[in-house]
Amino acid sequence: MKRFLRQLTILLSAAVIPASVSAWAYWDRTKWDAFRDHAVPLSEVLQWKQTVLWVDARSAADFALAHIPGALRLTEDDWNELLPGLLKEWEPDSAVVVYCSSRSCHASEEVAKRLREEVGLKPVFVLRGGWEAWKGAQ
Amino acid sequence: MKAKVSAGLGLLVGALFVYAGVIKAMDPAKFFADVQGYDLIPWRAATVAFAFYLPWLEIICGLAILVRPLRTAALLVLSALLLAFTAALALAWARGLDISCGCFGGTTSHPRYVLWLARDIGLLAVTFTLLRPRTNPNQSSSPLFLARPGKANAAATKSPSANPKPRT
Repeated sequence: MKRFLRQLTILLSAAVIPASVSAWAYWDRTKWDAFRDHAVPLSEVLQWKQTVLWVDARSAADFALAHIPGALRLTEDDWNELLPGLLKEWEPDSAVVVYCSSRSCHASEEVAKRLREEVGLKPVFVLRGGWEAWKGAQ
Repeated sequence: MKAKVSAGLGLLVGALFVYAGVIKAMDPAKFFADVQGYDLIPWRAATVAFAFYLPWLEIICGLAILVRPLRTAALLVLSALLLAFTAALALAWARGLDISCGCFGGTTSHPRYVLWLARDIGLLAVTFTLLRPRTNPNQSSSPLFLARPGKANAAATKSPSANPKPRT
């Protein structure tokens, strides 16, 4: 039993060393709230004067059930198929706002990040609270 | 044969956890966001610490499965982790959360709870199977789990000191 506990201690403490090194190495480079930096509340979006291009990052079934009027669907799963359609609708002076279902989902943050970094669209925001926030405001 | 299957399964589980750990360790901010999605850890600092610590624990335990003296402890830690993951996923599903699994990186447009839970339960079954004590008398005494069973013992029996002749 003592031997087993010693093995357990070795394993649990061995992970602390690389984890600490990783924390030290990543600390400055990692923006912990990077995903949330571009999150905007619905009330703010509704006050914008520029055109808003809504992007729905939920599943096809959820989108078919209901979505924000005029929204286009774009997900990581169907990125290559759906992106051309979105780019056709996008205009340089429009703001892109991506949403998924709720506060806990990250699909919108990932899609927004890829639109910014891979496609180069600016500005791209994430709707805080997602579809639930929109539904709640109706 | 059983020893080979056991070694193969151990290698598979170990490799899977090393892969999962490396993916997470390479992007701790993404894993942090995934953990936050579960809404289970109330303190931000604890979530940050968890996001740094868990990937390395997975990597170390995944590798330790292949090292005989640490194998049981590694399998127990991985089983405990899998139990915790299963409980967290079930809880998130029950609460209707739209989360990213955070298991192997990537994001899906909708949660795939059935698939994720089935995978975790399957892995749990494998780790429990590997944890069962082996009664093979030819079990290798090599510190590496993948060493051929019986090889070390055979060497030992060839040695006169290991197999002394009875005195007449």
